[in-house]
Amino acid sequence: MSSEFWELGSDNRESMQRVMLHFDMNSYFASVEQQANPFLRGKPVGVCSTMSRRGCIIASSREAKAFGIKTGCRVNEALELYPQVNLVEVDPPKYRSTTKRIFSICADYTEDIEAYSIDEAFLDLTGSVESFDRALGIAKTIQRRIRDEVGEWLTCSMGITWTRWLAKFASDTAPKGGIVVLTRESLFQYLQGRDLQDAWGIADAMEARLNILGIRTLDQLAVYPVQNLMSVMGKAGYYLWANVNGIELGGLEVKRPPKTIGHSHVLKKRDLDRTFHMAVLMRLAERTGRRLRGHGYEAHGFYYYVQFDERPSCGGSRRVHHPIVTTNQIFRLVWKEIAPVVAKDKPGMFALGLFGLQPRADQLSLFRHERLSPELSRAIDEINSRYGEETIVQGPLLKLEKMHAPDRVGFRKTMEAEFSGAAELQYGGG
Amino acid sequence: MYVDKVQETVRVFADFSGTQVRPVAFIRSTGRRYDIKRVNLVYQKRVGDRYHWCFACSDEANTYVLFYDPENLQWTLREVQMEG
Repeated sequence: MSSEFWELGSDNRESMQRVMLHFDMNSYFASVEQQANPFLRGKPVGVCSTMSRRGCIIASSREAKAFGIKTGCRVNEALELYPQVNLVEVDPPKYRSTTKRIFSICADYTEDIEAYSIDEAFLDLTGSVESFDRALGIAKTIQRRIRDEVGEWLTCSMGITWTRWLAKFASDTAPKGGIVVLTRESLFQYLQGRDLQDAWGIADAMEARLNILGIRTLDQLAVYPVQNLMSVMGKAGYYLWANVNGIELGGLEVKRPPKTIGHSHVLKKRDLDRTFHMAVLMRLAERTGRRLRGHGYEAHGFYYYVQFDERPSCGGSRRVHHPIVTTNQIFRLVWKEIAPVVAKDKPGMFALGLFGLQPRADQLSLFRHERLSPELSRAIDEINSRYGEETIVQGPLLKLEKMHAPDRVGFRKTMEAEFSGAAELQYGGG
Repeated sequence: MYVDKVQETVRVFADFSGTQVRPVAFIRSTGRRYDIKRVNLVYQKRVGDRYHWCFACSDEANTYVLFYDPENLQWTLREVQMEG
């Protein structure tokens, strides 16, 4: 009886019109800043990772883009391009909270949401609507509700079609604040003459390989014999061809556990100050350790990377026998590797991370005695979770100002936005 | 644009309407009253296991960021941005 039920359910879902919607907030961080401060609206705004001249512009407003100030640009380059650009320091909680409100609106229309990034998501509307026209209605409603309930300056581009890949492609190629609906009938026409790099997953290297085969536009890729593509590019060739032709390869991605956890920081001052280097590294280790323990993992390897201004960067990775759990372990392992190199040359950037992640086994060691036990780490984590980060800190962090290695915004899988759970008491603008 | 980061407890007139609350005006320690023309963005910041509500507001000339701690019902002025 139950197997009949599932077969029937499965057939029904397969026969339904698949409807996938992708939305991407336009110039997100800069738009949120312009939403918060109306005096910035209509002006070039650059959101910086740090306010130093070496800092990186992680988002720019439409007005700033018109002056050539793009994501990835250095602060000093942005100031050269347009000296009057309004620079704002990144404020991760502001963007996370705004994302949460936007995703909560989306959750009113479907439970099947894949948060692809802090400013974009896929909504599987299959079963919720029977046609693209109805999905278009929902898309317009979501756009209106974002304007009304979150902020009138926030706009998003949307793509509606029947596969995940095409939905993102449609949204990426939609005008700012616009919606593109791709049907099976209109797909080929939409692909005609489009650059290969308009497609999600095709960058310089892939484009060059396709060019060698005589493929220069997306419509040429769609009609290219798939066997030939596979003989040259293997499975990747099939994936490309299938995606462009609207063959669903995966659907929404379920949230997968991380393979690595790590943090990096561009130093605000360049010197040989050992105490300062230890403090920054300890903060990165603490942040990494907090996330590791928050997931309930232990690590079996670590990596590190140090960038210098005046000599080649150095880095490496090691596997370890004794599982890594505590902040102190992370710090000591990484410091041992980098202490000799930062004693001679002034470092510009530190990065560290953990790999070989497994659920914590809490296996006791016969041969080693940890200076700071996992139990003590757990207790410190609980206090910091309850009373705020760095309520209790490791010694080296005592004198380190907050501006060094501050909270960072996660762009992809590191972001932790929830889709629902509106607070009992709502707080509204107007 | 000039940004002044402050940490000043302020008295706030708030409009509680249904399930929504909206700051209408606030009085600084100097006794001066500031009328809020618009609440532009509302967001949350986590402090330990609690959340502070943050209101990015503006009047005719400046923008202000007010924090509200629902635990102790305290309002704090955190930021003043002045044009020019």
